Amino acid sequence: MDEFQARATIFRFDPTSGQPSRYEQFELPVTKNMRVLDVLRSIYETQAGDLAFQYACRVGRCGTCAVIVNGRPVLACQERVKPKMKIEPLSPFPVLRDLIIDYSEAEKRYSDLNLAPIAAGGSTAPAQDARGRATFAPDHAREVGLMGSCLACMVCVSACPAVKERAFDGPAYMLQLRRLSEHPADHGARLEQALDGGLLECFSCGACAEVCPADLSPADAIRDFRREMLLGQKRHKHSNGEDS
Amino acid sequence: MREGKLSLPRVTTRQAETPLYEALACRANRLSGILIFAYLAFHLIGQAVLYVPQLGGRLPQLLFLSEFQYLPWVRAILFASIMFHCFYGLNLMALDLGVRLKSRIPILTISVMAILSAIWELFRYGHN
Repeated sequence: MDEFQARATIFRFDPTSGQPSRYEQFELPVTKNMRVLDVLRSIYETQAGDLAFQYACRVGRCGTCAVIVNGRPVLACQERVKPKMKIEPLSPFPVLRDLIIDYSEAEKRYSDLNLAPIAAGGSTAPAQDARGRATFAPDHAREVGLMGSCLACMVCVSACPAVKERAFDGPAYMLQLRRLSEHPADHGARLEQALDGGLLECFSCGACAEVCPADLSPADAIRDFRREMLLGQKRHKHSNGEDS
Repeated sequence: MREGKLSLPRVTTRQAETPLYEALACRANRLSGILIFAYLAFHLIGQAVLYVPQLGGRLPQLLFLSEFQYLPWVRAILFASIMFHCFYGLNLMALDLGVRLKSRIPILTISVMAILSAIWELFRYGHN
């Protein structure tokens, strides 16, 4: 095992203390295969029992442990330990304490987007062929399913420069709107929702796709929306041949 | 979705270990735009000082601008900026129109073109 000494500079903030936020340094022995979450747990167990951070699955599935390490938003359970680390809570979210952020605004936005298929004429059933079978082409279904596998970790929102500078909701929401837009059972005005959320404010820098721990591309979702807006076409036609 | 290889249930998560090239290109695009506008401002002021006698008489310290804009390294930066800004913008437009390219290839190509145009401009002035 390659063992070395790591120095972690961690953002500390306790709203009950009345003190302003600060950075605190910790030094600890680590091994090369450790992750940032292991470092946080080690610091919590041996040096700072009042350090607040959150995690759940520890295998990169839940997105709960997202933090900023050396300026880049990452999942703490997946990010390899480095000799020098500056660990901060995700921006631009309000900090509850230390590395814990308030997700309630993000949850409210998801809720406001009404991310379930919206019926047309009272039905949300996918299109059917002559024999009454649902026609959701496998490739198309796979792609919609992948978009739905977003962890909602908010890493992309934190990495997005447009969120910091402009009235842009963020890539994660655009991805979910696109998922519904591609869904054959959905008849909602998803493009209009995306435009309201700041679709045109995106810089197209692709940072969201580069940092996404789920390997999804909100940038492509945004580009698909823009193409739909410019050319009036969706990338996928619904399997019954109807161009939605 | 990015590579078209993923399947559910997902067996791995990825972590971006390399620099965020696309985000860097976006910043470079912004910087090149600023440089182009800065050059334009220098050029306008330099020409005004040179060709408007009253202005040149009042602001002689700005006469250097008329020479400054023709310095080889200034022209090299200008040409590289124009090249990068123009082609990166076209790249973004193509992406919005549905062209799906591996994003790093056009960025790399555009960067190389910008560097070559800067070298070409330096070389051109070196022989004049």
